[in-house]
Amino acid sequence: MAINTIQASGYELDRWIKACAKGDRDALANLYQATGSAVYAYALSILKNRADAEDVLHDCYVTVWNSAGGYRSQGKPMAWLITITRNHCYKLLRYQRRYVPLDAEDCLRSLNAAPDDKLMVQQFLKILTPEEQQIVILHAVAGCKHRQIAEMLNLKTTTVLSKYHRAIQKLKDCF
Amino acid sequence: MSMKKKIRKSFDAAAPDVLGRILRDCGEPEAKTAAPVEHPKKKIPHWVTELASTAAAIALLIAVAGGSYLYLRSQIPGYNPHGAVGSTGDSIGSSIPDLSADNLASRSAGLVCPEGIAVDFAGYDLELAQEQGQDDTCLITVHYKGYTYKFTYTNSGELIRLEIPLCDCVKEGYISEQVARQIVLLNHSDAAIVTAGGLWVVSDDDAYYRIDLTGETDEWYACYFVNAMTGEIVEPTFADIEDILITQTEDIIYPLALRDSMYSVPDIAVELIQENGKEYYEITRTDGSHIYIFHFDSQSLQLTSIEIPLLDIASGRISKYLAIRKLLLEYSLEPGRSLYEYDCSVVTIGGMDYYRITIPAEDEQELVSTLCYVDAFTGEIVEFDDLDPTYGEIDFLTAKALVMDYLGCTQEEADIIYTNYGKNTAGDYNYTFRLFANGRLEDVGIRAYSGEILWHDTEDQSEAIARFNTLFGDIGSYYNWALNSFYSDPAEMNLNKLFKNADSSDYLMPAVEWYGEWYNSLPEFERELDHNLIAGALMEDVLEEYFGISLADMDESSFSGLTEIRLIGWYSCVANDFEVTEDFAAHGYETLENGDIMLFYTSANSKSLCAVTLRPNGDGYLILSNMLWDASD
Repeated sequence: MAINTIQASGYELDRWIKACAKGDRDALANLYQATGSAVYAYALSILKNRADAEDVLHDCYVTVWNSAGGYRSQGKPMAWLITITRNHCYKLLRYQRRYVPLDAEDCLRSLNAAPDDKLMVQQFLKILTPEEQQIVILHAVAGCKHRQIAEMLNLKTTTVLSKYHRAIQKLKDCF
Repeated sequence: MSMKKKIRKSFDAAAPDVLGRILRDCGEPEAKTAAPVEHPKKKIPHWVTELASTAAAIALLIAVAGGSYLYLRSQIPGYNPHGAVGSTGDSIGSSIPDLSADNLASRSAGLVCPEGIAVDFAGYDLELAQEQGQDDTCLITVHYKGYTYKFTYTNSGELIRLEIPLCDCVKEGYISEQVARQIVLLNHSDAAIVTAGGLWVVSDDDAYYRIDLTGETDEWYACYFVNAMTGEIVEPTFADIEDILITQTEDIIYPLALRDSMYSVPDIAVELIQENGKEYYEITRTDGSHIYIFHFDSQSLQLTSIEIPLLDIASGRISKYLAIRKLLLEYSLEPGRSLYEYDCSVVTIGGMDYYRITIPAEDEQELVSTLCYVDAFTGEIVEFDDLDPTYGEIDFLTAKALVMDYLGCTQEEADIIYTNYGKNTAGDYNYTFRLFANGRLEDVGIRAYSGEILWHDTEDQSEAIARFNTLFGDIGSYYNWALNSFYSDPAEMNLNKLFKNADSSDYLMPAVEWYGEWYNSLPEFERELDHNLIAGALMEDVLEEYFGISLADMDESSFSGLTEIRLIGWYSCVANDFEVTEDFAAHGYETLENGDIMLFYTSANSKSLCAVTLRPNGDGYLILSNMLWDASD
């Protein structure tokens, strides 16, 4: 079953993370529904494996719950979540020594989604480079601004912008 | 749906719901000292501090009515970098106002949905109400999906006040471009030209409409950015401008220019330059060895110049959008439409490729539709003084006349089977004609922009016979199928007999003394085969009757399998003695306008639909052609 997604601003995400620190489970649920698909997509782009991405999705929010007390708002809640996600992914990769990703189509065969959505995700992981995948996910799914993405990935804003447009063009050519 | 939204939707659908597991695994949060709460600072645009003198004016964007509406009045001075707002000229659309309730309501409705809330056309149900306001003003109220729009008109029909609801933009989308225009026009009723520069989506939380205004006599110019979420007039930050300008150059350059490196990532530098009292943005895009430089006016953000690298042929043509932009700059024309809507194609003149761009008529006074040419490799604008003004304007009748002239026949003598007008992959428009003329089937292609004959194919007998060979191999009894192709009614024609027949009754074995000598001269493997022989005196007649060719044409007619036995003046070919009737499936026939008859069949060899064309010839029929049949014909 897919996440029942909701839209939220950065300010609301901030508020929910802080509420998590006080034990507010509704806030965690809201945070999950607002950001879960972005976290999952980001994990999928690194791990290229549906089951592993699902585990990281779970671990990420458990970490959020446990670490919310130490969260310092800098107006970048999504960046914080993505950092946690990335750390979990790399941790998993180190653990599994799986540095060579599996073929995207194989690992997504059991993806539970409508055929159109499944095809989109498969093509997304197939035709875009890992860096392009992360840029597009951070902008299109996580809602990060290009400047924020540039900071997170240590790239120039213009580079992020170009790569984003190029990636979108590739997908347009594909569909 | 945009690609961005598609991606978002797909990942939303693909992401599994593990919330239950998460909540189960979350006990009490680990005790930590909460960090001091830092409220995110609200971004204060630099222009608010820098342009303190205009702040008070901008503050007239007053939110009233319980804070849920943005009221916009005509006194709001917008961002006017030139600071020279004129006050002459009539208000837009105020001439001969129709003050009927229906008209005003209709005009108001146009400012809301479906344009108003762009992403949701469903449930479009307006409720209009009119009432008399104060001071002889007319108040129109529009209800839409729980939102209320209010428009106030003067007794001259001029819109003087607009209340738009602050929609939940995440759910409902942006305000419409029409509304954005009106918001700006409330400040500049004296604007003569209003140009909307499109919607710039910087991020999910950041989107602007750009609206350019020009005074009636060009003595002033103003550029506004309207927040597409709230309707506020704002000045974008430098970073936003950077994004906008880069996007503009992106649209111009790709996809055709540098097509060999479409997916390479160019280096882009944006710099605000002050030079000789002028200030402009310079965007340098470096892609491989090619450097494009764009200059944008810092105030109006208008593109003011483009430097195009001198490309060589191997690098490909420049983008047609770049060519259009260059042309518009050169002639100081405003786009007035999307670059994608310009009629632009590649024409070859004197062996060189040019973009032929049609600049449409802007209005009755100024500009008529104009053809312009831009060098497709260097971007130079070229004027052809001696170019026939009809160049590129060939209509169908002209093209047809040119084709007839080329073929040397009159229009009455030719039967046109079909014509086509279309664009090929190079962007050239061509007319294509298929017709019967001069007793043959002719295919002629003609360039629509120049009348140049591009190709001419003739389906002659040699092609038809070559087709026979292709279909039935080199081992065929030409004698037999030629003789047996004579039918009183083509519907009775046995196609198998025509092409595969080796009826032994037709086998002629001349009892002549030279036969043994000739037989022994054959290679051993050919001796095992039966041979048909036909007298040279008859051969001329057979070829003429059934193929329309003479013996002299034989070398060009794929009759190489037919060997002349010069010694005796006879002809020989290897006979085909296979009787394989299942090789064919007949599909009927049809009579063409000129009386020719086409027989359709499917060959087991080619698995394709083929057609034999027969022309009545005395009591029988002449085989005109036997070709693969293209259904599109």
